[in-house]
Amino acid sequence: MESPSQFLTDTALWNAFKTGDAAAFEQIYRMHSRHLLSYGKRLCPDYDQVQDAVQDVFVEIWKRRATLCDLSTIRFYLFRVLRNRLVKQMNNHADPLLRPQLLDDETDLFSIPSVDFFLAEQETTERVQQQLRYCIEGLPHRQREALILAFYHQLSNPEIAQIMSINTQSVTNHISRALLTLRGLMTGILGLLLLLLRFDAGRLTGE
Amino acid sequence: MDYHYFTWNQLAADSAFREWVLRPTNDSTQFWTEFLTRYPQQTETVRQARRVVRQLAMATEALSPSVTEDEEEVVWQQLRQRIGNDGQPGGRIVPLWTPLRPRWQQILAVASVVVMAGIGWWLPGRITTPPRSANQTTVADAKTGLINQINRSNKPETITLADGSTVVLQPGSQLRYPRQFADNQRIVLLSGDGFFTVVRKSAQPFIVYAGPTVTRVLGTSFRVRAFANNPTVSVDVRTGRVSVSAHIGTNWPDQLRQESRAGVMLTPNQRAVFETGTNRLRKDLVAVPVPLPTPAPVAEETFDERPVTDVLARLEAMYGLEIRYDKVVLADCTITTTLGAGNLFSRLTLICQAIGANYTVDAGQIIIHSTGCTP
Repeated sequence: MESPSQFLTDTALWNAFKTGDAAAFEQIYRMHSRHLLSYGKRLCPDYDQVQDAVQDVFVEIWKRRATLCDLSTIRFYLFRVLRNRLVKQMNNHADPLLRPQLLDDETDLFSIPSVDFFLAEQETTERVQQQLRYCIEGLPHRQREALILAFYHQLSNPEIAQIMSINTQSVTNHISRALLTLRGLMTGILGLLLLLLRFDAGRLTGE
Repeated sequence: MDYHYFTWNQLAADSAFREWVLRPTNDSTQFWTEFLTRYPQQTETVRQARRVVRQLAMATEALSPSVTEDEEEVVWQQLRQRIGNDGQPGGRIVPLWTPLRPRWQQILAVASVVVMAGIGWWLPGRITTPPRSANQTTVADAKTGLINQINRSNKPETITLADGSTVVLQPGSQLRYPRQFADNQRIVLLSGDGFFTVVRKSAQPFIVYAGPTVTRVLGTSFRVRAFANNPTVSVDVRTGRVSVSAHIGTNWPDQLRQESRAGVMLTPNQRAVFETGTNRLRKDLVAVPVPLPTPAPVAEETFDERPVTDVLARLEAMYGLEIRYDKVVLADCTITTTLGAGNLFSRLTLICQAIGANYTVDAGQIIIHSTGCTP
């Protein structure tokens, strides 16, 4: 998909947008829509609602363009409005706030003896990534949401705080606690993996 | 910030640190280099935190639902329309909207339809929510351009589509269809029970999305039953050939890509059953096979001491079904009978009794088991 980047500087883009330039609006949409749709899908399992809500937030910035401050805050503003909207809608429908967790019965992971290393040196191996994703899904949902906003959407802690309607210190705490939990889980899982590998190897040589 | 006493997870939880790792600038690189020069004891912590940030960035990206260009485009086109309609867009806006790109017209048509399919299946409560002013409700969805017709009466309704095809919609069922079909395909969405009589157009397959199934035909008649609260979806074929496949995933672009796996081809009086529990499509016969439509009313046909294979061949032709048997074994079996409109299964039972055989139905086929007759 070609991105119509007609406005080369942020200032030019912003000024054009403020005067109601549709091409500028489209460029802003293209800059943010994927991240917003992705975040929305995570928050809400009903894609139709997500689509509507993403449209709503863009309609809103279009209508309020005259009173918006600047380009750098738009992204965070869009996230915040989107989240408010989806959370409100989901509350109306008495739906759970976030997607159903993938794992509820995995608490056993905690009881596996920890092996004393963290996330392994081969940091990009698919297996480690796979385990990491698995463990992230098992986090409490606020921690997981903060983590995703911080590391995938790359928002700052004050921005995340406003998006999630909590204070900045809580965001920092959520993230650093989530990381500690993850380390615990990961070392547990890696320990389990090692055990399984050893078991497998033993079985093979035994045959 | 007193970074010199931060632990690895506190560093990774710090916005400025993350920004440096993920989007370094000259300034941030200079800051952290100076920091490490002053506090070399933090080198290992910083290294670990950097690794964690990069790993988390990868993992959270992989965890985040992907968004396709099509999805982005669909929202954009809808947004564009809304802003165009909503309001007072300001003097410059109208001429600046570029015309809808042709490529997207098709994608949009498909996209809107399939999005609805997903919802029809997963959120039945939502779509069948009132307006309940009339028994039968027709609502054109402003955003998708799809007509949404719900039969709230207690008798079947017939809908005629733009191509002349008709759908008999049973009470409590819902059909979504475009006012005009795309050039290359005709897509509709069904929730509930619908009997389709499709006008043949070889260049424009007719596609019915119903729950987890996709039914494609060129021209034929068939019935689809897909009630959201029922774990099975069935497709019964009356005439013609019909291909049925399952799709998986709740994200509609995935549905489009994955639908074509493992389908079944149905001929008249066959049925495809999809069971949500097993996620499998199986072939069966319809509950009550009916003779194929003929131009003239079916006249009774009398067979007098004729080979049973003649009678079976006649039945095959009447019902458009395949009956499998061993010609050699049945060669000496003869029968006297009359064929007219009537129940296929009771007829088969009578025939089998007469020749000391039995029959089974397997994967949409009738199989005659016999040890032969003595002449």
